[in-house]
Formats: sequence, structure tokens, C-alpha cells
Amino acid sequence: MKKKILVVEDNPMVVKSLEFKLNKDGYEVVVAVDGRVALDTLKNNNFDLVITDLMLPFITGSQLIEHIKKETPTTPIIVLSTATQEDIIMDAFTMGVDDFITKPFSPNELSLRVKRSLGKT
Amino acid sequence: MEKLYDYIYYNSGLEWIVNLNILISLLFLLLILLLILFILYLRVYKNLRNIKKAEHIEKLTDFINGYLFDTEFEEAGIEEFRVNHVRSKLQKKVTTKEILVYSQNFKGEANASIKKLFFRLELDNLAFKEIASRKWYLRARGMHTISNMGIKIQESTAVRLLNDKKVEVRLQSLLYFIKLSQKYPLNFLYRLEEPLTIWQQIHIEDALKSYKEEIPDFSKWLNHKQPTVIGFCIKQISAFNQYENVEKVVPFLEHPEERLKKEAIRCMRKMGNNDSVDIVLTIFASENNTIKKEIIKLIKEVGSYNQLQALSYELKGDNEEIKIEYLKAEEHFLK
Repeated sequence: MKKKILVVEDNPMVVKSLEFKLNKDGYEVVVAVDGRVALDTLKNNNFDLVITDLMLPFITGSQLIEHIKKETPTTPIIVLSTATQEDIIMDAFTMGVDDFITKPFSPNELSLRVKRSLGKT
Repeated sequence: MEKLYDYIYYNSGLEWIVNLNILISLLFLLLILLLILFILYLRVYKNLRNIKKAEHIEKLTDFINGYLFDTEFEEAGIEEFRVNHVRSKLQKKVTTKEILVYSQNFKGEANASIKKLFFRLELDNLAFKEIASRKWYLRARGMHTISNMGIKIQESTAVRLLNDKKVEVRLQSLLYFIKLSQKYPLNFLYRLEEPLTIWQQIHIEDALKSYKEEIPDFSKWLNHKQPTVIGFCIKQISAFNQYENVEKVVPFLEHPEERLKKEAIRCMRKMGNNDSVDIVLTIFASENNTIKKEIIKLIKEVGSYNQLQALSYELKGDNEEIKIEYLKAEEHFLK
């Protein structure tokens, strides 16, 4: 069975590329364009991995991570963000994210990190 | 009203006024109608253009993603896409914009591939046309594309655009120099004849943050003919802790131009230069309030209580703001 990944991202270009790349890698991808949609999607579905931006409309990435860690603590989370400040990255890891990728990013590298994170579960 | 109308029309021989009024009203109505039609046309045109744009982006995204991530993608598809879908001006413009977005979001192999695609689709021709355009926004856009795609253009063209009459074009041109020069990112300053705006300075500072080579020696431009460039360089000397250049900044403490003097005092403060205090003490009385405040702040941070007290005689005629600044400094020393 295909592993299911939730991508939470508001940049249409990044969304399309991730969807395409991850589908090619053999995953089932569900997209949420903001934090609110992501919460709704999470209510009705189980995911093997969540890839999220930190700056999202309506609900921030941090709030979303908190929610996921509370509801399904074993779901791995990868943050994909433009933030490069050390404190933001540290905060994300403190909240329990599994990986942090900064934009601009390498799709091939992301692909490997997804594979690694899913391998852990 | 009706009676007045009848009177004018039948008795006064002024019926031409009524006819003229009717004519003007009709013309006015016609004008309104034309204006409404024109607005409707613009809206329809814009909507159709947006639909075309959205359709093109849809096709383009599929094409780019296939090109980047599909292992079965055929090279011949690029030429086919160029011939069929990158023909009109709108298609070229939208494609360029999308490719720029991809290149800004991707690094590594994907970034190199997307830049290669830009040339394979012959979009560099559009950028060259744009930088030669008489419209300033096209020149700015062209420079933006060229610098982001790493295209080298003729030095004379780049310098001409660096001193363009439009500030937006100048900004894109200086970013071009920073992005494309390997070892000397700020050498364009030698050729800059226009003032360096605050916005441009912010962009340069931002670009320098991610600059991986050795940071340039900012004292090289302390004799530039543009005071804005000198001010920027003094600021950067302190920002990058270029202590070896402090001596070269000292003369600016007595410079006739207020902003340079202010920047020099701030530089001394940030670099903890105590020798500068003796110089500023001699000029304090003749300075305006802005400079006086900077001088007091300098003494507070790098001077001594005795040096501060030397100012107390000079404060008699000064306004409350200066006196408050003085008291803050005094409190700092007496703590």
C-alpha cells in the first residue's frame, strides 16, 4: 500500500512540484493550502508523514505541529521553510519535528529525507 | 419651468440655446456610453488574458515538473513546447516569471536544470529586448531576469543601467553586479554616479549577508563623490568590524555634511573608539541637536564621566531633549 503524505504549503509552485515529485517516488500525496484546511484534512485521514511550511495563512505551522504532536505523536513531520534563523529551527526541533529543510531546497534531497523519515515509522 | 421653456422657445428667438443644450446632452450621453463600453472592453480583455495566463501556467507547470522529475522525459519535448507554447509575448512573459519562481525555490541540480531550460526556451532573447526597452519597468524586469539567471551582459550596458534615471532600474542593476561578480561584488560603486537610496542600501546589506567570499574593504569608497555611498561605507565598516579602517573614518567626525558626521560618530560608538571623544568634545558647542545627541551617546558608551562633565557647561542654552540625553548618560556613569 502506498504511504500517504500530507503537504501543507501555500506556494502553488512548491505544492505542484512536491506533489509531482512525491507521486513519482510512489507516495500518495494530499495537499492543504493553509493551516485550517490541514486541520480539517487531519481530522478525517491518517498520514504517514506531514511536510509543512511554518508561515501559513490562518493557522501557523507551529500551531499545526503542536496539534499533530498532540493527536498523533508518532507521525513524522518535516518542516520546509524559508526561515534560516537558528532560534526558529531550534524551536521546531524542540516541538518534535523530525527534519527541517530550508528553502531554496533540493527536491532530490527532500526525496531522500522523506524516505528516511518514513523508514523510521 | 415649462413656462420658461415655452417662453424661450417661442417668444425670445433663443431656440438655438435649447437646441445646443440638447446637442450637448446627447454628446455627453454618447461619451458616457463610450466610456462604459471601454471599461467593459478592458474588463473582458483582462479576464480573457487571465484565463489564457492560468491555462498557460497549468501547461507550463506540468511541463516543468515533467522536465525536472520525470525520468522518462524526452529532450525533444523542450523544442516542441517552445514552438507550440512559448510563442506570444504573454506566454514568454509568464514562462519567464514561472522559471524565476522555480529557480528561487530550488537549489542544486534542479536549479541548474531550470536555468538550462530558460536558455533552451530562448527566453534570454526576451530579457535582452527588455533591457533595451524605452519603458523603465521593462528595463527593470529585464535586469531582474538577467541577474537571476546569471547572464553576463556587456559591461557598458550594465553601467548605463546602473546610472539609469529610474531608481528601480538602478536597483536591479546593482543587484546584477553583486550577484554576478565573483570576487568584487561592490566594485560597481566606482561607477555609480547616482545617489544610493536607503532601499538600495538595504538590498546590498541583504546580499552581503549571503556573500561567501571575503567582505570588501569599505574604506576604498570613502572618497566617493556621492555622500550616500560614503555614509553607507562608514556604516558597513562598523557592521563588519573593520577596525583597520577606523582611522580613515575619524576625519568624518568633523565633516561639514551632517549625515556623514552622524554616521562617523555612530561608527566610533559601535567600534568602541575612545580617541574620537576628544575630537567630538571640541565640536559639540557648534553642532545641531541631532549631532549633540549622538555625541552624548558616544561619550556614554566609550567615554568617561569626566569627558561627559566637560559638556555640562555647554548645555545651558540647549533644549530639554539634549539635557535628558545628558542626564541619561550621567545616570549610566553614576550607577
